[in-house]
Amino acid sequence: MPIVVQLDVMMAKRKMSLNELSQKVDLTLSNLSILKTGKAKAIRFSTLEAICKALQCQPGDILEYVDGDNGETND
Amino acid sequence: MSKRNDFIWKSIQLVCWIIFAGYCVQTGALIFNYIYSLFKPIATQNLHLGLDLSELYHRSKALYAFLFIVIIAVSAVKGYLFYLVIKVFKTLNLVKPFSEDVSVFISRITYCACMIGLISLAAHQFTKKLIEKGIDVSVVDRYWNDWGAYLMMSAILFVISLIFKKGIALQHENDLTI
Repeated sequence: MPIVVQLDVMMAKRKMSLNELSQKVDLTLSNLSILKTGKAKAIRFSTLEAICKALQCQPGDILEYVDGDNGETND
Repeated sequence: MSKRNDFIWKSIQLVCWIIFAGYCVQTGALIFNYIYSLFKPIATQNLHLGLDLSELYHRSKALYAFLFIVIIAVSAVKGYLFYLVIKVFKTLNLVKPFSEDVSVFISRITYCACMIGLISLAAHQFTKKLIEKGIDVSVVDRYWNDWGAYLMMSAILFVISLIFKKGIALQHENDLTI
């Protein structure tokens, strides 16, 4: 999939752990892990909103479009 | 599940168990009677619930063996089909109904129903030819006069299995929506 989730990058920038983010956005660790590893097929606006609020960033900071072979690792 | 649906659900399961047990008993009885008839040809006059194949036995033992093995095979596959239906009931989780296991069972039921339909159709035509030749085997027709129903069932199940596969893909996508 050419959409790459940059959640780990933003978490590193905000120095936030997966546990902390999980508590703030009210998502299970396994779901956050699916999102972080790029296995997720879709993301709800409500989830995106919660993550953006917790990490104080824009959706574009979390999602990135990568053209060509670079984005084919996820699906 | 509501009380009414739960009752229907359990009733269907019970009926499937009874039919499965019935086919197991019938197949066992047929196998036993076939082996017995090889040693005691007199038994061919009443093989199973009035099944008289003595005329065929005396005309051709090979044809008798072939026809009887087909009867046993149809009965056994019907039993296996109902065993698969029971397995579907056991495996089906109504909270998340679209699972790979259920899909495999539905596909197997489809193949079984198709196989029963085709074997029964061929056997039906074969017995018609025997009757035309003057050998009265019309009594065996009761074992495969439902070939049309099984073929229709396999066609419907094939469509259901395709829809089920699409359902699995949708459920998988839903599971991976965060």
